[in-house]
This record gives sequence, C-alpha cells and structure tokens, in this order.
Amino acid sequence: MADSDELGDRLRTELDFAAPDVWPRIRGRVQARRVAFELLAALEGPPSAWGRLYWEFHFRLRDELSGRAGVP
Amino acid sequence: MDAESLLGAIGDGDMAALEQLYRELRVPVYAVALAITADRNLAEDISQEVFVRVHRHAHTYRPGSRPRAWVLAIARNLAFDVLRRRRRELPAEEPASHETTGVSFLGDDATLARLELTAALLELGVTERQIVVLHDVAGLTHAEIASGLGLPPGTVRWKYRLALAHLHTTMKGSRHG
Repeated sequence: MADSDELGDRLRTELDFAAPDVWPRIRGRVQARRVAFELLAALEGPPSAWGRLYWEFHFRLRDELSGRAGVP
Repeated sequence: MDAESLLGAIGDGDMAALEQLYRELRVPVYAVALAITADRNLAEDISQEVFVRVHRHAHTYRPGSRPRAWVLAIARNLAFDVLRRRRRELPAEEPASHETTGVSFLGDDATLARLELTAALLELGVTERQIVVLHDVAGLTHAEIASGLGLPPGTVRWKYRLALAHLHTTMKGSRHG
C-alpha cells in the first residue's frame, strides 16, 4: 500500500511537471467566442465585407486571441 | 467551491470559476490525454480543447452526476477522436502513437529523466494507462472507472494490479540501476 501511495505521488509530481499551463490560450478562445456572439447579436446579419463592423470584428478577435484585449 | 458548484457557475458564464476548475483538473485532464495519445503535443492541445468545451457545455451538466468524471470523460472522448483522425491521416504502415511505447513522444533526454515513471506508464496498454491515471492521478474509484470505461469492476481491479506490478518493477530497477 505504501508502495502504491509512493507511486501515485511520484506519478502526480511527474505529470504536474509535464503538463503545460494552457490557461491563457483557453481564456483567449473563450473570450473570442463571447466577442463574436456579442457582435453578431448586435447585427441583423453578418457584417458586410470591409465595412467598419467587419474591421471591428477582425481586430477585436485578433486582440482576444493574442491576449492583447484591453491593452491601449 | 466544489467541482459541482464550479460547473454551475461556468454554465452562467463565470470565467473565474472556469479558471478554478482548470487549476484543479489541469493535471488529471492532461494525464488522461497523455495516457490515450502517448504524445505530449497532442495531450497539450486536447487539454486546451477540453476546457473550451467544458465552458461551452457546462449548462448541460446534470447536478449529481460526478463532475470530475464528467470532465474527464470529455478528455477521453476528445483524445480518442484525435487518434481516430490521426489514423485516417497516417499511411497504413505507420502506427498511431498509442500503439507504440510512447517513450519517444515525451521529449528530449533531460525531460525523459524527469518523466521516468510516466515513460514506464506509457509502455502499458492504453486501457491499463487510463486505469492507473484515473485512479492515482484523478482520484476516481475503481467503480467509477469501470463505469466510465464500460468494463466490469473486477477487470478494472485486476488490470490495475498488473499495471502497478509493472510500474513497481520499473521503480525498483531505476533505484538499483
């Protein structure tokens, strides 16, 4: 039993080392999706190509995905 | 907040709750993905996708249906989907990563030295790897694992004991070697 506990502890330690922190990417994807829904909800249909809303949509999504949202 | 309450809050759009659930289940989710794919890069991508899907589907979680097992089931399903896609894309003569020992998918020598037991784990069959990870890393009971994997509880206990014997041998070998 002590061996099993030791093995479990060691495996958890190794996997904690191996597992990368992907939270910034998760947050970016979730927020980008929220922005997309907000913008689409504000429109009656998809924004027309190259109009002001198209570019607002483009830049907000780019900023959310690159983690730069909110940076002046 | 416990995992059940966190899922409820995530369903209401609470990002702080999503981050807390991520911090609690980051390692078990990654471990499940690695146990199935035997590939660190794939496991990383799957970990990310799992929590995006948790955010998207948290409102469909039924309270009382074991929140940790629910999240880990998403990880299992995604990992097997990724492997199925890989198998279709790879030439027929090239084996999918989970059919190999997996050691070569862990990284360079320095990383391998810190992942000795993980490398031994990846020498087991894919079912045994999942059982060890779900029990020893995620903390699920053998009954919960049996239910999730669709296996009889006795089979899960038997495979777990065999897997432990293999891993203990590896640990002893590394101490004496």
